Amino acid sequence: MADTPDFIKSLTDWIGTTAVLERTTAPFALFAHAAEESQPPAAKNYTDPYTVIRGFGGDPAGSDPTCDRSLQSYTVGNNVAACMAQAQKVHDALLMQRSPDDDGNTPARNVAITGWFILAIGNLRQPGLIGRDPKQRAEVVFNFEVVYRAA
Amino acid sequence: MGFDFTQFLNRAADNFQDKEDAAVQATAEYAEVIMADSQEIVPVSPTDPKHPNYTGTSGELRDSGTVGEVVVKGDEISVEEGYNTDYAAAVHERLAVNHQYPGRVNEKAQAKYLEVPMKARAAGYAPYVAQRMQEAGHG
Repeated sequence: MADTPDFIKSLTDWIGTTAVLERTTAPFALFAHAAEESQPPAAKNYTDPYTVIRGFGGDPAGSDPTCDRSLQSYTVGNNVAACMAQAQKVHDALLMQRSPDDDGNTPARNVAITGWFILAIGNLRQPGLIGRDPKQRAEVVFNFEVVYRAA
Repeated sequence: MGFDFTQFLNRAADNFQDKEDAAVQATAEYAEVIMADSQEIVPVSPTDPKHPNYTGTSGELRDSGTVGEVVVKGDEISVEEGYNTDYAAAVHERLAVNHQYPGRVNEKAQAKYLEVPMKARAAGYAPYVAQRMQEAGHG
């Protein structure tokens, strides 16, 4: 199933709204697919830390009309605690939001986002520090899966 | 007139143990298959010190691949496998790293070098174990 319009972009927009992370005006706190860091002397177009939502494992799996996709939240920044805090905000945006059956730790389901309908989020892991990037910034990641269909 | 169920129960217990042993053995084999798949795609840095991707630890990650003992706890059978270097998780999770550079040692190198084979083999695990248990029950 082709991701047209872009599912990861729509999901990232939704996470940005839910977690209150800047998606629309530079400096950006949240990117879809990849971050393109502006370099000096240009002004930074990214916050410290920032997060990227990206897919892995190839094209979406599943049988039409639903898709199953593996995604990763990747947060990078100079301060480990700030990275962990931002990653946790992204993680918590993927939980049920104030629904009647919300126990505070249930991955979201049945959520309409722009162009798509999320049936369920699964295998939602906790953020973890994996190391330092070539700029010696902390890297915090967690993975999750989304089952969705076109709206 | 009475019946001695002892022999029947002993046979049933032996049969149960045979099936559990088969499940343990099948799980161990399956874990080894996944590790073998993983070894084909785990990144290996170049051995030439002049290569820009040289790390000085060529093959260390690949050689650290380990499959643990199968553990039976109640109704659950589990086995842990993984790579034991302090950078294994970073190499596994850094999706933006290009492993397909010129002069690479492993042609199929990629991130998610354990998760990819595990997911690819996941659906085949239960039928494999079931078949082995069924065979054990025919002894």
